[in-house]
Amino acid sequence: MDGMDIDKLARLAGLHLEETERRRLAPQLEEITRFCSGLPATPGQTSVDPGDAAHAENEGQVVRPLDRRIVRENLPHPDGDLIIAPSPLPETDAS
Amino acid sequence: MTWWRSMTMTEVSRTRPAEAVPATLAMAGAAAGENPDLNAYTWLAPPPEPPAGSGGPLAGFGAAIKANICGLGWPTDCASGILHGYRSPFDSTVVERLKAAGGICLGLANMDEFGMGSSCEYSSYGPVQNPWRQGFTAGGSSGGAAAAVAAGLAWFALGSDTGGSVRLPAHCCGVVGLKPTYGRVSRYGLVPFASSLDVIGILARSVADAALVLSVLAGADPRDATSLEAPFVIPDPDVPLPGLTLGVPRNLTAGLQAADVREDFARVLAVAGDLGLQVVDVELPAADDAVQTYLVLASAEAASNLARYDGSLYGIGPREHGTGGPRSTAYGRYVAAARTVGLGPEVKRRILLGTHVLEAGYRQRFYERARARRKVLTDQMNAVLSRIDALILPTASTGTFALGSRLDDPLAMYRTDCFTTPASLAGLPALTIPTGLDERGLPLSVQLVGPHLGEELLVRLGRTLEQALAFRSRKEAPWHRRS
Repeated sequence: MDGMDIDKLARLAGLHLEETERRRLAPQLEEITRFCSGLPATPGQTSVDPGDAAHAENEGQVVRPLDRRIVRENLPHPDGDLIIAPSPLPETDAS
Repeated sequence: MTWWRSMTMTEVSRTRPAEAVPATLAMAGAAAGENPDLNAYTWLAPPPEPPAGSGGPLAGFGAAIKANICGLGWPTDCASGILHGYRSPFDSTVVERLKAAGGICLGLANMDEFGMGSSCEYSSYGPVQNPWRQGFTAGGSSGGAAAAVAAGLAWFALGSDTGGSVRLPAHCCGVVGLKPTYGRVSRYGLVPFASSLDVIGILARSVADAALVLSVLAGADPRDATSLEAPFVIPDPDVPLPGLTLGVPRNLTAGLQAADVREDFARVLAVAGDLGLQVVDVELPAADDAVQTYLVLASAEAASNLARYDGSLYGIGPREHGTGGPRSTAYGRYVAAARTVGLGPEVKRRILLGTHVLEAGYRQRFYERARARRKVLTDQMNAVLSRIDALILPTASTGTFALGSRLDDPLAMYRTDCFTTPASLAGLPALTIPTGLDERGLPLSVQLVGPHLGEELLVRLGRTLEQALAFRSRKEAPWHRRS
């Protein structure tokens, strides 16, 4: 997957992959990623290549996309914050 | 055969209203007996008490509720092992409104885990069988909901649609599927998969029934900041349809390979022409990339939303599965153990993909590019819908498929959504209507996509087409012959 280490990805996602699962998932993810990489850039968008030096220091950071307000108001629990468990992803939510 | 398997709620309300409750009780009994073969329900509610009052537009009618919609005391586990044992401590807004209208919950409907799938095979409860033919998928992810309605084991059902999860099962099971405009129905109490795309939708036996349920559910909710102040009023069926223009997105439909789908769609367009509707070709170039755009965005949001399932606050923990120690185990190992055991293969695949497309160095190439592409598609769809009244296209490029046939090919499964993801990405309403049968005798359908908050128009169009196509009066799922 563009040089991506699936074990590192699994660690970021809070998953542990057994060897058989890893062998099955890795080629599938490569194929899916290739499929999705065909999305055309929209004029004005900056293109950043994987492994770009400018991003090397942030490698492994995952910026979570969701407006927390929207998430909080749709939690399956009326007390909201109670079930915002500590995330297995690094807490770098820009919102 | 029992009459309540095939009559619609609007027909019963008009002709034999006193029989709605006894029929629902009989339906609940049938569901208990037949569910082991169909697997449409993950949980059956205790035998329903006849409602105290007689009021309400849904009085006495029983519904299947997708297992990702919360109801007080229900095991809303999203068909996932990680939520095993979870009982919801509250009613979702849609369940509150359904109960207030006199509706009855018959049980929770099987689904692809957390709504991720197009065939209802990724469920911790096992696959749903198609009531038209066992061994075939009921579509996903609201497959249990559609199968229950098609089999006559629910009058209607509530599902959720993120990229086609109400419309595809409706297509596979030969029932009506309505995905409202994003925000028209409150999502409060819907367990999120991809919050910017998730919509609660309706599966029903007729367009009129779907409209009736939408009139109960729609409207603003202070507990969902994305809900809209847009109640739905059922359009008068006696007002004739004015001359309307339907657009066929030819760049999508030109590639239709299956001859029976192509011929069925051509027949539907001919019927529309006979009804006085003008059919024109339109182009939606950005819809060619809709599956990729959807896949990136939905996976990214899913990776974020599902990060909360770490086994510590509800559902299973590693201890329950004997794979870890007590909760003092190092947190990272504890979380990984719970998620590894509790989450299924498709959910893991999407979380890994979503994590990848959000990672520094990849985010711009995938996530930001998909966000921009979504905006382009939305603008194109809105521009086209400002010139015509609605889009018309098939719901899927093939009829339903055999269980297991796409499980080893995730891309083939994702491509199943190629006709449904555009409306999801643009947040527009869409209505699937059964049209005929393919060469194997399995259902086909057509999909109408309307402008923002254009459900009234879709219902009027849908009722007219439904009547002209007369699918329901000609065909019914062979499951009905069981009794």
